[in-house]
Amino acid sequence: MYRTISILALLALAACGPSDSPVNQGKAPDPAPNVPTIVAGRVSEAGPALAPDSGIFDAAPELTVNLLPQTVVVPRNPETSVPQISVRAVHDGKWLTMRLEWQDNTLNNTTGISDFEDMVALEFPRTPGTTPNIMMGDANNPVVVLQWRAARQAAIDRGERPESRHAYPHMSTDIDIGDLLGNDGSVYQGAAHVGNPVSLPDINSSPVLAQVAAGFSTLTSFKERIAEGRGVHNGERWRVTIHIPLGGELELVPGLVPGANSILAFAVWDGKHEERGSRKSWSPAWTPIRLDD
Amino acid sequence: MPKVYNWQLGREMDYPYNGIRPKRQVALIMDTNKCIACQTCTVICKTTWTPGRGQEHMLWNNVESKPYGFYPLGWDVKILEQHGVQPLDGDTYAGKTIFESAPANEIALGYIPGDQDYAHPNVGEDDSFGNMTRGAHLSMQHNQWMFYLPRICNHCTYPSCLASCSRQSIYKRPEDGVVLIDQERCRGYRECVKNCPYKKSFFNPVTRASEKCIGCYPKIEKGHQTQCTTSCIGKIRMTGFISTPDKAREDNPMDYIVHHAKLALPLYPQFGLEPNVYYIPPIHVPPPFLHQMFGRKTAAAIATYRKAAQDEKLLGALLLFGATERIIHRYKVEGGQTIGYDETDTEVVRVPLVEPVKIRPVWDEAHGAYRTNVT
Ligand code: SF4
Ligand code: SF4
Repeated sequence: MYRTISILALLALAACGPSDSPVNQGKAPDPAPNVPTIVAGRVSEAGPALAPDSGIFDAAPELTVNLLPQTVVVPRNPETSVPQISVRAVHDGKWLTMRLEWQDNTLNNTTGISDFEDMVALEFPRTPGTTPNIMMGDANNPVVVLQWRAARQAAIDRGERPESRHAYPHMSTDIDIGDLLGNDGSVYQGAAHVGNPVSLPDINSSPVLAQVAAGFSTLTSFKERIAEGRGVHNGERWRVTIHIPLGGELELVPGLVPGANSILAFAVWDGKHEERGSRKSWSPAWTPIRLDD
Repeated sequence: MPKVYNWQLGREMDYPYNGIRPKRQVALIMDTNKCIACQTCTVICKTTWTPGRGQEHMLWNNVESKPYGFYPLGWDVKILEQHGVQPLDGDTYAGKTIFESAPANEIALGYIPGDQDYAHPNVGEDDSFGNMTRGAHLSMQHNQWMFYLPRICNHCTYPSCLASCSRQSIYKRPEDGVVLIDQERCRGYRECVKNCPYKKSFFNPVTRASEKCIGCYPKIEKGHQTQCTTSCIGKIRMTGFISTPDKAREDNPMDYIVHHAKLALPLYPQFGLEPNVYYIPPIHVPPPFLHQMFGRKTAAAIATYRKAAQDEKLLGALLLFGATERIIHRYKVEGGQTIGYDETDTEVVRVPLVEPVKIRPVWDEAHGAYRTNVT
């Protein structure tokens, strides 16, 4: 079952490789004038150094996007934990930075046995000019999903791969397989050992998982394509930046260049309500975005 | 939702996927009457598979003392309470499975245990409490009885963990029915942890992915029984391949015990997963408790067990427990012995039906000493 889907995902990826998607081909049409659009103005610096609380965002127009509980696929989320997300965007020609803000008075940035982390994600069509199924794309129209994760950021900030003692500081254990076997103990780190990106096999990676999907259950991480991001929680709300490289070798979203129009969608997970996977608040319609020249 | 046939329920049931049975299904039989709770199985499983960081709370194999022992805490009473009272009599199960009683928005009934629920396995399970009056050993809510219940993943025919994984990261191997979590694809959503009613899928907070018993598949592939089976001090376990009842072979010891003698029964079959660990129920426990746990055929299974010595074939199958590391595909009873054969039909073990007994005189002439029984 899983193999079939992987093959589909690969085929979809192959079908939209760089040579098949010249930047100007199939540019998204200009949005209708009355459709609320996110406008990313040009600024001098929009790379990963741009902090979520930076004053640069004050000048950017804000668009509030309403979110609904995900109630299409099971397991469903019966209630919206996060009903709205405020979005601002800027770019400097090399990076597009989306600044996302939502109310959440509980910080959830650990992954104990029974706790879940706060997360936010952006979704773009992988092929310029297409309008994929908003729910993870489809076999012919894949999507790029950039997901920032609070616990991932916390681990990266600590500079240490996750350990049980981070969630359980007073734990004790009889055997430390790392002490006994050194690096050979890594075989007992199943997911990390096989390079599962959620296991943070590389502590120097990004708090944002850059992924591609071509339908339900197909979300797969890019090995090398990197988006950056940073979240700041002030006790009442999150402000998160997601930095997306524009064009060049690191290009993540083909066609997303200064002067272009595209569309995107949003999802937020509230760890306090055990949200993960399909248990989320999401924007059920694509929102247009325009990058000023 | 597709319909699948669950022979343990004697009927079709709802399941999110079409029912494709593996080419063969690995299974275990455990004789609860012989378990001494030495936890050797728990320790060997732990040292073989889960000594890593983030696995500290994980016991893919555990042994708990019923009725008060649970790992994780309250695992079965919690899901039984959610499931509600179900009718268990009759050849066809008239109640609902955990898929059929799923709340709106969910695949199945379930809950995620709290981290404390994993924290103290076995602590206090069979300790006495309160003051002992002269002559009494123990005072409890009911007459004194208990038994040990060893548990591993059931490598279910209709796994709820697999059905619940929204990333389809869990798969059932067509070659042996072992249920595995793809460690590359899992994202730690814990839907499997939530919906496995046996709570045999675990979250690893270090790798942030879920993990579960792998049925010692590297051993199974080599024709060997699982670690918990071959280490078992009480020789209570047998690993082998089980057929569906319509294809049961009398010369397969697993089939003989489960299908022909109907001696070993699945744990909580009413959940609807068609679990593949089969238990010979304890003979001294109040029937209503066992009825709920192993289904309505418990009383007949206990009656069969009490006269197992009179059925040479059954005795022969039971004596193969713990007798060899190899998986036995065929056996026969001949000349007062039970003989087991591996997949290539090569003889791998021979056990006498009656152990030779030698009675030695109390006085040892050679050493000029009395023999004393120190065990
Ligand atoms: S016992 Fe639980 S973890 Fe094992 S196969 Fe069945 S549902 Fe999955
Ligand atoms: S090794 Fe055997 S006898 Fe000992 S606890 Fe495990 S199942 Fe019971």
